[in-house]
Amino acid sequence: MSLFKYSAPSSFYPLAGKMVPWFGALASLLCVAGLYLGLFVAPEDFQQGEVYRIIFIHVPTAWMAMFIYLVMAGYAVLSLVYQTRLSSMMIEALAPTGAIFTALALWTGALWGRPTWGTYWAWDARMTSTLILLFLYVGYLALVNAIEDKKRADKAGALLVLVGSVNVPIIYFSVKWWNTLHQGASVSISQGNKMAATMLLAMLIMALACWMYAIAIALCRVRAIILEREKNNAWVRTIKEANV
Amino acid sequence: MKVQTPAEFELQTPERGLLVAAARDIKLAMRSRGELVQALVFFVIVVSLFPLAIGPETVLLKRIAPGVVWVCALLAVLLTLPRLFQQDYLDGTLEQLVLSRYPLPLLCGGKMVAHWLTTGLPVALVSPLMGLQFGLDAKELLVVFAGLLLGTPVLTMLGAIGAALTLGVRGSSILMALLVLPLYIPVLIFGAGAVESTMTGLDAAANLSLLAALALSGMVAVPFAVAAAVKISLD
Amino acid sequence: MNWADFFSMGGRGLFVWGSFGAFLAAVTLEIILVRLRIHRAQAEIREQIIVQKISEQS
Repeated sequence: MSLFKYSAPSSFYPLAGKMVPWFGALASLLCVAGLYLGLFVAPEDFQQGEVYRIIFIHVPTAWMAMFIYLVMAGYAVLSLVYQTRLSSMMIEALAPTGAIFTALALWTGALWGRPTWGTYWAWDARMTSTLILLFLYVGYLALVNAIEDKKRADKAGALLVLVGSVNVPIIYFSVKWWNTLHQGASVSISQGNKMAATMLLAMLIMALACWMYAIAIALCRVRAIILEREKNNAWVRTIKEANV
Repeated sequence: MKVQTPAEFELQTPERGLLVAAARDIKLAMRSRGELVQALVFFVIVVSLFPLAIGPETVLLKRIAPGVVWVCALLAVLLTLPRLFQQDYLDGTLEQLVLSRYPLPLLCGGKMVAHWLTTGLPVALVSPLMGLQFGLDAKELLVVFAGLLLGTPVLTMLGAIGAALTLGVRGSSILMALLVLPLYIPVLIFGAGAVESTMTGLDAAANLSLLAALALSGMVAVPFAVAAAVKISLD
Repeated sequence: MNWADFFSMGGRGLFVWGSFGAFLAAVTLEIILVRLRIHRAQAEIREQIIVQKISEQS
Protein backbone atom coordinates (compact mmCIF):
# COMPACT_ATOMS: atom_id res chain seq x y z
CA MET A 1 0.00 0.00 0.00
CA SER A 2 3.00 2.24 0.35
CA LEU A 3 2.88 3.07 -3.34
CA PHE A 4 -0.68 4.29 -3.05
CA LYS A 5 0.42 6.71 -0.39
CA TYR A 6 2.32 8.63 -3.02
CA SER A 7 -0.69 8.83 -5.31
CA ALA A 8 -1.96 11.63 -3.09
CA PRO A 9 -0.86 14.95 -4.63
CA SER A 10 0.18 16.28 -1.21
CA SER A 11 2.76 13.54 -0.69
CA PHE A 12 3.79 13.29 -4.32
CA TYR A 13 4.66 16.99 -4.57
CA PRO A 14 7.72 16.86 -2.25
CA LEU A 15 8.73 13.43 -3.57
CA ALA A 16 8.74 14.71 -7.15
CA GLY A 17 10.68 17.73 -5.98
CA LYS A 18 13.41 15.42 -4.70
CA MET A 19 13.45 13.33 -7.88
CA VAL A 20 13.61 16.14 -10.43
CA PRO A 21 17.27 17.17 -9.82
CA TRP A 22 18.45 13.56 -10.05
CA PHE A 23 16.71 12.82 -13.31
CA GLY A 24 17.70 16.23 -14.63
CA ALA A 25 21.37 15.64 -13.80
CA LEU A 26 21.24 12.17 -15.30
CA ALA A 27 19.63 13.56 -18.45
CA SER A 28 22.26 16.27 -18.92
CA LEU A 29 25.16 13.87 -18.26
CA LEU A 30 23.80 11.35 -20.73
CA CYS A 31 23.07 14.09 -23.23
CA VAL A 32 26.64 15.41 -23.07
CA ALA A 33 28.05 11.89 -23.34
CA GLY A 34 25.71 11.00 -26.21
CA LEU A 35 26.44 14.18 -28.14
CA TYR A 36 30.17 13.72 -27.63
CA LEU A 37 30.04 10.13 -28.84
CA GLY A 38 27.72 11.01 -31.69
CA LEU A 39 29.48 14.12 -32.95
CA PHE A 40 33.16 13.41 -32.23
CA VAL A 41 33.74 9.69 -31.77
CA ALA A 42 31.31 7.95 -34.11
CA PRO A 43 32.82 7.57 -37.59
CA GLU A 44 31.40 9.02 -40.76
CA ASP A 45 28.84 6.80 -42.46
CA PHE A 46 30.28 5.51 -45.73
CA GLN A 47 26.95 5.83 -47.54
CA GLN A 48 25.33 8.93 -46.11
CA GLY A 49 28.35 10.92 -45.01
CA GLU A 50 28.19 13.23 -42.02
CA VAL A 51 24.50 13.98 -42.34
CA TYR A 52 23.56 10.63 -40.83
CA ARG A 53 24.38 12.14 -37.43
CA ILE A 54 20.87 13.58 -37.41
CA ILE A 55 19.63 10.12 -36.41
CA PHE A 56 21.19 10.66 -32.98
CA ILE A 57 18.40 13.16 -32.43
CA HIS A 58 15.80 11.80 -34.80
CA VAL A 59 15.55 8.20 -33.62
CA PRO A 60 15.44 8.98 -29.86
CA THR A 61 12.79 11.68 -30.32
CA ALA A 62 10.70 9.38 -32.53
CA TRP A 63 10.92 6.62 -29.93
CA MET A 64 9.97 8.99 -27.16
CA ALA A 65 7.05 10.35 -29.20
CA MET A 66 5.49 6.88 -29.27
CA PHE A 67 6.64 5.83 -25.83
CA ILE A 68 5.18 8.87 -24.08
CA TYR A 69 1.79 8.26 -25.67
CA LEU A 70 1.97 4.68 -24.41
CA VAL A 71 2.77 5.88 -20.89
CA MET A 72 -0.10 8.35 -21.11
CA ALA A 73 -2.40 5.47 -22.06
CA GLY A 74 -1.19 3.54 -19.01
CA TYR A 75 -1.98 6.50 -16.77
CA ALA A 76 -5.34 6.84 -18.51
CA VAL A 77 -6.24 3.30 -17.46
CA LEU A 78 -5.13 4.04 -13.89
CA SER A 79 -7.08 7.26 -13.92
CA LEU A 80 -10.31 5.69 -15.15
CA VAL A 81 -10.10 2.49 -13.10
CA TYR A 82 -8.72 3.77 -9.78
CA GLN A 83 -9.96 7.36 -10.12
CA THR A 84 -6.62 8.70 -8.94
CA ARG A 85 -6.26 12.40 -9.60
CA LEU A 86 -2.49 12.12 -9.85
CA SER A 87 -2.70 9.85 -12.90
CA SER A 88 -4.68 12.46 -14.80
CA MET A 89 -2.23 15.13 -13.74
CA MET A 90 0.61 12.95 -15.05
CA ILE A 91 -1.14 12.62 -18.42
CA GLU A 92 -1.49 16.37 -18.56
CA ALA A 93 2.17 16.80 -17.58
CA LEU A 94 3.43 14.33 -20.18
CA ALA A 95 1.37 15.49 -23.14
CA PRO A 96 3.24 18.73 -23.99
CA THR A 97 6.58 16.92 -23.81
CA GLY A 98 5.23 14.16 -26.04
CA ALA A 99 3.98 16.72 -28.53
CA ILE A 100 7.36 18.47 -28.55
CA PHE A 101 9.20 15.20 -29.14
CA THR A 102 6.80 14.32 -31.95
CA ALA A 103 7.33 17.69 -33.59
CA LEU A 104 11.11 17.31 -33.22
CA ALA A 105 10.97 13.83 -34.75
CA LEU A 106 9.12 15.24 -37.75
CA TRP A 107 11.42 18.24 -38.08
CA THR A 108 14.64 16.23 -37.84
CA GLY A 109 13.16 13.58 -40.13
CA ALA A 110 12.55 16.23 -42.75
CA LEU A 111 16.08 17.62 -42.39
CA TRP A 112 17.51 14.13 -42.65
CA GLY A 113 15.30 13.21 -45.59
CA ARG A 114 16.27 16.17 -47.75
CA PRO A 115 19.98 15.27 -48.20
CA THR A 116 19.37 11.52 -48.00
CA TRP A 117 16.25 10.97 -50.09
CA GLY A 118 16.19 14.34 -51.84
CA THR A 119 12.89 15.38 -50.27
CA TYR A 120 11.82 17.00 -47.01
CA TRP A 121 8.62 15.08 -46.78
CA ALA A 122 7.58 11.73 -48.17
CA TRP A 123 4.24 10.13 -47.43
CA ASP A 124 6.09 7.24 -45.89
CA ALA A 125 4.18 5.05 -43.44
CA ARG A 126 6.32 6.00 -40.46
CA MET A 127 6.32 9.73 -41.15
CA THR A 128 2.60 9.79 -41.83
CA SER A 129 1.74 7.96 -38.64
CA THR A 130 4.05 10.24 -36.66
CA LEU A 131 2.19 13.20 -38.10
CA ILE A 132 -1.11 11.63 -37.03
CA LEU A 133 0.37 11.03 -33.59
CA LEU A 134 1.09 14.75 -33.39
CA PHE A 135 -2.59 15.41 -34.23
CA LEU A 136 -3.60 13.08 -31.40
CA TYR A 137 -1.39 14.97 -28.95
CA VAL A 138 -2.77 18.30 -30.16
CA GLY A 139 -6.33 17.00 -29.87
CA TYR A 140 -5.75 15.92 -26.28
CA LEU A 141 -4.20 19.26 -25.33
CA ALA A 142 -7.02 21.16 -27.03
CA LEU A 143 -9.70 19.14 -25.23
CA VAL A 144 -8.13 19.43 -21.79
CA ASN A 145 -7.57 23.16 -22.17
CA ALA A 146 -11.08 23.80 -23.46
CA ILE A 147 -12.88 22.18 -20.53
CA GLU A 148 -12.95 24.52 -17.57
CA ASP A 149 -14.05 22.05 -14.91
CA LYS A 150 -10.76 20.33 -14.07
CA LYS A 151 -12.35 17.13 -12.82
CA ARG A 152 -14.22 16.71 -16.06
CA ALA A 153 -11.15 17.67 -18.11
CA ASP A 154 -9.15 14.96 -16.34
CA LYS A 155 -11.62 12.19 -17.10
CA ALA A 156 -12.41 13.35 -20.62
CA GLY A 157 -8.72 13.58 -21.41
CA ALA A 158 -8.04 10.12 -20.01
CA LEU A 159 -10.86 8.62 -22.07
CA LEU A 160 -9.63 10.37 -25.22
CA VAL A 161 -6.08 9.11 -24.70
CA LEU A 162 -7.42 5.59 -24.20
CA VAL A 163 -9.51 5.74 -27.38
CA GLY A 164 -6.53 7.20 -29.20
CA SER A 165 -4.17 4.49 -28.01
CA VAL A 166 -6.57 1.79 -29.25
CA ASN A 167 -6.55 3.57 -32.58
CA VAL A 168 -2.80 4.05 -32.90
CA PRO A 169 -2.09 0.47 -34.09
CA ILE A 170 -5.06 0.63 -36.47
CA ILE A 171 -3.81 3.95 -37.83
CA TYR A 172 -0.29 2.61 -38.23
CA PHE A 173 -1.52 -0.52 -40.00
CA SER A 174 -3.84 1.42 -42.28
CA VAL A 175 -1.14 3.91 -43.22
CA LYS A 176 1.26 1.07 -43.97
CA TRP A 177 -1.40 -0.62 -46.07
CA TRP A 178 -2.08 2.62 -47.90
CA ASN A 179 1.64 3.05 -48.46
CA THR A 180 2.03 -0.35 -50.12
CA LEU A 181 -0.95 0.38 -52.34
CA HIS A 182 0.75 3.57 -53.56
CA GLN A 183 4.22 2.30 -54.29
CA GLY A 184 5.56 5.72 -55.25
CA ALA A 185 6.37 7.17 -51.86
CA SER A 186 7.97 4.15 -50.23
CA VAL A 187 11.52 4.69 -49.05
CA SER A 188 13.98 2.20 -47.70
CA ILE A 189 15.82 3.14 -44.57
CA SER A 190 19.11 1.26 -44.65
CA GLN A 191 20.23 1.59 -41.09
CA GLY A 192 20.62 -0.87 -38.28
CA ASN A 193 22.11 -3.68 -40.28
CA LYS A 194 25.46 -2.06 -40.99
CA MET A 195 25.55 0.38 -38.14
CA ALA A 196 28.87 0.65 -36.32
CA ALA A 197 28.86 -0.19 -32.62
CA THR A 198 29.74 3.37 -31.55
CA MET A 199 26.86 4.74 -33.63
CA LEU A 200 24.43 2.38 -31.94
CA LEU A 201 25.85 3.21 -28.53
CA ALA A 202 25.57 6.96 -29.14
CA MET A 203 21.99 6.53 -30.28
CA LEU A 204 21.07 4.44 -27.24
CA ILE A 205 22.68 6.94 -24.87
CA MET A 206 20.80 9.78 -26.51
CA ALA A 207 17.58 7.79 -26.22
CA LEU A 208 18.27 7.25 -22.54
CA ALA A 209 19.00 10.96 -22.14
CA CYS A 210 15.68 11.85 -23.75
CA TRP A 211 13.93 9.37 -21.49
CA MET A 212 15.45 10.84 -18.35
CA TYR A 213 14.71 14.34 -19.59
CA ALA A 214 11.07 13.42 -20.20
CA ILE A 215 10.78 12.07 -16.65
CA ALA A 216 12.42 15.15 -15.15
CA ILE A 217 10.37 17.69 -17.09
CA ALA A 218 7.11 15.79 -16.55
CA LEU A 219 7.72 15.59 -12.81
CA CYS A 220 8.51 19.29 -12.76
CA ARG A 221 5.37 20.11 -14.71
CA VAL A 222 3.21 17.86 -12.57
CA ARG A 223 4.43 19.76 -9.50
CA ALA A 224 3.23 22.99 -11.09
CA ILE A 225 -0.09 21.37 -11.96
CA ILE A 226 -0.50 20.06 -8.41
CA LEU A 227 0.07 23.53 -6.96
CA GLU A 228 -2.30 25.15 -9.44
CA ARG A 229 -5.04 22.67 -8.67
CA GLU A 230 -4.58 22.44 -4.94
CA LYS A 231 -3.89 26.08 -4.16
CA ASN A 232 -6.96 26.32 -1.96
CA ASN A 233 -6.07 23.29 0.16
CA ALA A 234 -4.37 23.78 3.48
CA TRP A 235 -1.38 21.52 2.80
CA VAL A 236 0.07 23.74 0.07
CA ARG A 237 0.81 26.38 2.74
CA THR A 238 3.27 23.95 4.32
CA ILE A 239 5.49 23.28 1.28
CA LYS A 240 9.03 24.42 1.75
CA GLU A 241 8.88 26.82 -1.20
CA ALA A 242 6.09 28.69 0.61
CA ASN A 243 8.38 29.91 3.42
CA VAL A 244 8.67 33.62 2.86
CA MET B 1 -46.63 11.74 -33.85
CA LYS B 2 -45.86 11.09 -30.23
CA VAL B 3 -42.43 11.35 -28.70
CA GLN B 4 -41.96 9.21 -25.64
CA THR B 5 -41.02 10.93 -22.45
CA PRO B 6 -38.23 9.49 -20.31
CA ALA B 7 -40.79 8.39 -17.73
CA GLU B 8 -42.42 6.10 -20.25
CA PHE B 9 -39.08 4.43 -21.01
CA GLU B 10 -39.06 2.89 -17.58
CA LEU B 11 -42.01 0.69 -18.34
CA GLN B 12 -40.22 -1.46 -20.89
CA THR B 13 -37.60 -4.20 -20.69
CA PRO B 14 -33.91 -3.18 -20.60
CA GLU B 15 -32.95 -4.75 -23.93
CA ARG B 16 -35.41 -2.51 -25.70
CA GLY B 17 -33.38 0.53 -24.77
CA LEU B 18 -31.62 0.43 -28.11
CA LEU B 19 -34.87 0.45 -30.06
CA VAL B 20 -36.53 3.03 -27.86
CA ALA B 21 -33.64 5.48 -28.09
CA ALA B 22 -33.31 4.93 -31.84
CA ALA B 23 -37.05 5.33 -32.46
CA ARG B 24 -37.17 8.50 -30.41
CA ASP B 25 -34.26 10.12 -32.22
CA ILE B 26 -35.61 9.15 -35.62
CA LYS B 27 -38.98 10.62 -34.75
CA LEU B 28 -37.31 13.84 -33.64
CA ALA B 29 -35.24 13.93 -36.82
CA MET B 30 -38.33 13.41 -38.97
CA ARG B 31 -39.96 16.41 -37.36
CA SER B 32 -37.29 18.75 -38.66
CA ARG B 33 -36.90 17.55 -42.21
CA GLY B 34 -34.82 20.55 -43.13
CA GLU B 35 -32.14 19.45 -40.75
CA LEU B 36 -32.44 15.92 -42.04
CA VAL B 37 -31.45 16.78 -45.61
CA GLN B 38 -28.76 19.27 -44.65
CA ALA B 39 -25.97 16.70 -44.47
CA LEU B 40 -27.08 15.21 -47.76
CA VAL B 41 -27.22 18.55 -49.52
CA PHE B 42 -23.84 19.51 -48.09
CA PHE B 43 -22.36 16.27 -49.41
CA VAL B 44 -23.83 16.75 -52.88
CA ILE B 45 -22.76 20.38 -53.17
CA VAL B 46 -19.22 19.92 -51.92
CA VAL B 47 -18.62 16.90 -54.17
CA SER B 48 -19.86 18.95 -57.10
CA LEU B 49 -17.48 21.77 -56.26
CA PHE B 50 -14.42 19.71 -57.09
CA PRO B 51 -14.94 19.44 -60.85
CA LEU B 52 -15.59 23.19 -60.88
CA ALA B 53 -12.37 23.86 -59.01
CA ILE B 54 -10.18 21.42 -60.90
CA GLY B 55 -11.65 21.44 -64.39
CA PRO B 56 -13.65 18.95 -66.38
CA GLU B 57 -10.83 16.59 -67.40
CA THR B 58 -12.32 13.14 -67.18
CA VAL B 59 -9.09 11.27 -66.44
CA LEU B 60 -8.08 13.52 -63.59
CA LEU B 61 -11.60 13.60 -62.12
CA LYS B 62 -11.81 9.84 -62.17
CA ARG B 63 -8.43 9.64 -60.48
CA ILE B 64 -9.49 11.86 -57.56
CA ALA B 65 -13.08 10.59 -57.29
CA PRO B 66 -12.56 8.06 -54.46
CA GLY B 67 -10.75 10.58 -52.30
CA VAL B 68 -13.22 13.38 -52.98
CA VAL B 69 -16.30 11.28 -52.28
CA TRP B 70 -14.82 9.90 -49.07
CA VAL B 71 -13.52 13.18 -47.69
CA CYS B 72 -16.88 14.81 -48.39
CA ALA B 73 -18.80 11.97 -46.75
CA LEU B 74 -16.52 12.27 -43.76
CA LEU B 75 -17.13 16.02 -43.48
CA ALA B 76 -20.88 15.59 -43.94
CA VAL B 77 -21.01 13.15 -41.03
CA LEU B 78 -18.74 15.40 -38.97
CA LEU B 79 -21.06 18.37 -39.46
CA THR B 80 -24.07 16.48 -38.14
CA LEU B 81 -22.37 15.07 -35.04
CA PRO B 82 -23.62 17.85 -32.70
CA ARG B 83 -27.15 16.57 -33.44
CA LEU B 84 -26.37 13.35 -31.56
CA PHE B 85 -26.34 14.77 -28.05
CA GLN B 86 -26.41 18.57 -28.18
CA GLN B 87 -30.17 19.15 -28.01
CA ASP B 88 -30.70 16.43 -25.40
CA TYR B 89 -27.87 17.89 -23.36
CA LEU B 90 -29.32 21.38 -23.43
CA ASP B 91 -32.90 20.43 -22.53
CA GLY B 92 -31.89 17.95 -19.84
CA THR B 93 -33.12 14.82 -21.64
CA LEU B 94 -29.63 13.38 -21.58
CA GLU B 95 -29.60 13.43 -17.81
CA GLN B 96 -32.92 11.61 -17.80
CA LEU B 97 -31.46 9.01 -20.13
CA VAL B 98 -28.54 8.44 -17.79
CA LEU B 99 -30.94 8.00 -14.88
CA SER B 100 -33.36 5.74 -16.76
CA ARG B 101 -33.52 2.04 -16.14
CA TYR B 102 -32.17 1.20 -19.56
CA PRO B 103 -28.41 0.57 -19.73
CA LEU B 104 -26.76 3.74 -20.98
CA PRO B 105 -24.54 1.97 -23.57
CA LEU B 106 -27.68 0.59 -25.23
CA LEU B 107 -29.34 3.99 -25.27
CA CYS B 108 -26.20 5.52 -26.78
CA GLY B 109 -26.16 2.68 -29.30
CA GLY B 110 -29.71 3.52 -30.22
CA LYS B 111 -28.87 7.16 -30.70
CA MET B 112 -25.96 6.17 -32.95
CA VAL B 113 -28.21 3.89 -35.00
CA ALA B 114 -30.63 6.76 -35.48
CA HIS B 115 -27.82 9.11 -36.42
CA TRP B 116 -26.47 6.69 -38.99
CA LEU B 117 -29.90 6.08 -40.48
CA THR B 118 -30.41 9.82 -40.92
CA THR B 119 -26.93 10.79 -42.17
CA GLY B 120 -24.60 7.96 -43.15
CA LEU B 121 -27.22 5.92 -44.95
CA PRO B 122 -28.58 8.79 -47.10
CA VAL B 123 -25.03 9.82 -48.00
CA ALA B 124 -24.20 6.23 -48.99
CA LEU B 125 -27.40 5.98 -51.01
CA VAL B 126 -26.72 9.12 -53.01
CA SER B 127 -22.99 8.42 -53.46
CA PRO B 128 -23.34 6.35 -56.68
CA LEU B 129 -25.03 9.37 -58.29
CA MET B 130 -22.11 11.56 -57.26
CA GLY B 131 -19.70 8.94 -58.56
CA LEU B 132 -21.39 9.18 -61.94
CA GLN B 133 -20.38 12.85 -62.11
CA PHE B 134 -16.78 11.69 -61.92
CA GLY B 135 -17.13 9.06 -64.63
CA LEU B 136 -16.93 5.95 -62.45
CA ASP B 137 -18.29 2.77 -64.02
CA ALA B 138 -20.90 0.43 -62.54
CA LYS B 139 -18.53 -1.80 -60.61
CA GLU B 140 -16.70 1.14 -59.07
CA LEU B 141 -20.00 2.78 -58.13
CA LEU B 142 -21.00 -0.37 -56.34
CA VAL B 143 -17.75 -0.37 -54.37
CA VAL B 144 -18.24 3.31 -53.44
CA PHE B 145 -21.70 2.46 -52.19
CA ALA B 146 -20.63 -0.68 -50.32
CA GLY B 147 -17.65 1.10 -48.77
CA LEU B 148 -19.76 3.98 -47.50
CA LEU B 149 -22.39 1.57 -46.23
CA LEU B 150 -19.74 -0.17 -44.12
CA GLY B 151 -17.65 2.89 -43.31
CA THR B 152 -20.20 5.53 -42.29
CA PRO B 153 -21.27 3.58 -39.16
CA VAL B 154 -17.66 3.76 -38.00
CA LEU B 155 -17.66 7.50 -38.69
CA THR B 156 -20.80 7.88 -36.59
CA MET B 157 -19.41 5.76 -33.77
CA LEU B 158 -16.02 7.47 -33.49
CA GLY B 159 -17.76 10.81 -33.89
CA ALA B 160 -20.15 10.00 -31.06
CA ILE B 161 -17.20 9.69 -28.67
CA GLY B 162 -15.95 13.12 -29.72
CA ALA B 163 -19.45 14.62 -29.57
CA ALA B 164 -20.04 13.26 -26.07
CA LEU B 165 -16.67 14.44 -24.77
CA THR B 166 -17.10 18.01 -26.04
CA LEU B 167 -20.68 18.50 -24.81
CA GLY B 168 -21.22 22.02 -23.55
CA VAL B 169 -17.62 23.07 -24.15
CA ARG B 170 -16.96 26.45 -25.73
CA GLY B 171 -16.05 26.17 -29.43
CA SER B 172 -17.05 22.55 -29.32
CA SER B 173 -17.56 22.02 -33.05
CA ILE B 174 -13.98 22.87 -34.03
CA LEU B 175 -12.67 20.98 -31.04
CA MET B 176 -14.71 17.95 -32.03
CA ALA B 177 -13.26 18.04 -35.54
CA LEU B 178 -9.79 18.18 -34.03
CA LEU B 179 -10.45 15.13 -31.87
CA VAL B 180 -12.34 13.06 -34.38
CA LEU B 181 -10.60 13.64 -37.71
CA PRO B 182 -7.32 11.86 -36.82
CA LEU B 183 -9.36 8.86 -35.70
CA TYR B 184 -11.19 8.87 -39.05
CA ILE B 185 -8.01 8.29 -41.02
CA PRO B 186 -8.12 4.46 -41.16
CA VAL B 187 -11.72 4.57 -42.42
CA LEU B 188 -10.74 7.07 -45.08
CA ILE B 189 -7.78 4.96 -46.18
CA PHE B 190 -9.70 1.70 -46.40
CA GLY B 191 -12.75 3.31 -47.99
CA ALA B 192 -10.93 5.26 -50.67
CA GLY B 193 -8.52 2.34 -51.06
CA ALA B 194 -11.37 -0.02 -51.89
CA VAL B 195 -12.48 2.17 -54.79
CA GLU B 196 -8.95 2.73 -56.00
CA SER B 197 -8.07 -0.94 -56.00
CA THR B 198 -11.16 -1.61 -58.11
CA MET B 199 -10.06 1.10 -60.52
CA THR B 200 -6.63 -0.50 -60.88
CA GLY B 201 -8.19 -3.88 -61.52
CA LEU B 202 -7.59 -5.36 -58.09
CA ASP B 203 -10.12 -6.85 -55.74
CA ALA B 204 -11.81 -4.49 -53.31
CA ALA B 205 -12.68 -7.31 -50.92
CA ALA B 206 -9.65 -6.82 -48.64
CA ASN B 207 -10.37 -3.15 -48.01
CA LEU B 208 -14.09 -3.76 -47.63
CA SER B 209 -13.56 -6.54 -45.11
CA LEU B 210 -11.25 -4.29 -43.11
CA LEU B 211 -14.00 -1.67 -43.04
CA ALA B 212 -16.47 -4.34 -41.93
CA ALA B 213 -14.04 -5.46 -39.22
CA LEU B 214 -13.76 -1.87 -37.96
CA ALA B 215 -17.55 -1.53 -37.97
CA LEU B 216 -18.11 -4.78 -36.09
CA SER B 217 -15.44 -4.21 -33.45
CA GLY B 218 -16.73 -0.65 -33.07
CA MET B 219 -20.24 -1.91 -32.40
CA VAL B 220 -18.93 -4.03 -29.53
CA ALA B 221 -16.71 -1.46 -27.86
CA VAL B 222 -17.85 2.04 -28.80
CA PRO B 223 -21.23 2.17 -26.98
CA PHE B 224 -19.41 1.67 -23.69
CA ALA B 225 -16.90 4.41 -24.49
CA VAL B 226 -19.71 6.77 -25.50
CA ALA B 227 -21.65 5.97 -22.35
CA ALA B 228 -18.55 6.69 -20.27
CA ALA B 229 -18.01 9.96 -22.14
CA VAL B 230 -21.62 11.03 -21.60
CA LYS B 231 -21.32 10.34 -17.88
CA ILE B 232 -18.06 12.30 -17.70
CA SER B 233 -19.64 15.27 -19.44
CA LEU B 234 -22.71 15.30 -17.20
CA ASP B 235 -20.89 15.05 -13.86
CA MET C 1 40.60 17.94 -35.77
CA ASN C 2 39.58 20.87 -37.92
CA TRP C 3 36.68 22.93 -36.53
CA ALA C 4 35.64 24.33 -39.90
CA ASP C 5 35.29 20.79 -41.20
CA PHE C 6 33.38 19.85 -38.10
CA PHE C 7 30.85 22.64 -38.52
CA SER C 8 30.44 22.13 -42.26
CA MET C 9 29.54 18.44 -41.69
CA GLY C 10 30.60 17.50 -45.17
CA GLY C 11 28.68 20.42 -46.67
CA ARG C 12 25.45 19.43 -44.90
CA GLY C 13 25.98 21.59 -41.83
CA LEU C 14 22.67 23.36 -42.19
CA PHE C 15 20.76 20.09 -41.96
CA VAL C 16 22.75 18.62 -39.11
CA TRP C 17 22.89 21.79 -37.01
CA GLY C 18 19.30 22.59 -37.88
CA SER C 19 18.35 19.30 -36.23
CA PHE C 20 20.62 19.52 -33.19
CA GLY C 21 19.84 23.20 -32.77
CA ALA C 22 16.09 22.65 -32.92
CA PHE C 23 16.39 19.90 -30.34
CA LEU C 24 18.41 22.02 -27.92
CA ALA C 25 16.22 25.07 -28.50
CA ALA C 26 13.01 23.13 -27.90
CA VAL C 27 14.35 21.49 -24.76
CA THR C 28 15.71 24.78 -23.38
CA LEU C 29 12.45 26.58 -24.11
CA GLU C 30 10.45 23.84 -22.45
CA ILE C 31 12.63 23.93 -19.35
CA ILE C 32 12.29 27.72 -19.09
CA LEU C 33 8.51 27.61 -19.53
CA VAL C 34 8.00 24.85 -16.99
CA ARG C 35 10.23 26.61 -14.46
CA LEU C 36 8.29 29.83 -14.99
CA ARG C 37 5.06 27.94 -14.49
CA ILE C 38 6.09 26.34 -11.22
CA HIS C 39 7.63 29.56 -9.90
CA ARG C 40 4.40 31.38 -10.69
CA ALA C 41 2.39 28.74 -8.85
CA GLN C 42 4.71 28.91 -5.84
CA ALA C 43 4.61 32.70 -5.84
CA GLU C 44 0.84 32.64 -5.83
CA ILE C 45 0.84 30.46 -2.74
CA ARG C 46 3.35 32.75 -0.99
CA GLU C 47 1.07 35.66 -1.83
CA GLN C 48 -1.89 33.80 -0.35
CA ILE C 49 0.01 33.26 2.89
CA ILE C 50 1.00 36.93 3.10
CA VAL C 51 -2.55 38.09 2.47
CA GLN C 52 -3.77 35.75 5.15
CA LYS C 53 -1.19 36.96 7.66
CA ILE C 54 -2.09 40.59 7.01
CA SER C 55 -5.79 39.90 7.40
CA GLU C 56 -5.10 38.08 10.67
CA GLN C 57 -3.14 41.04 12.04
CA SER C 58 -5.71 43.65 11.24
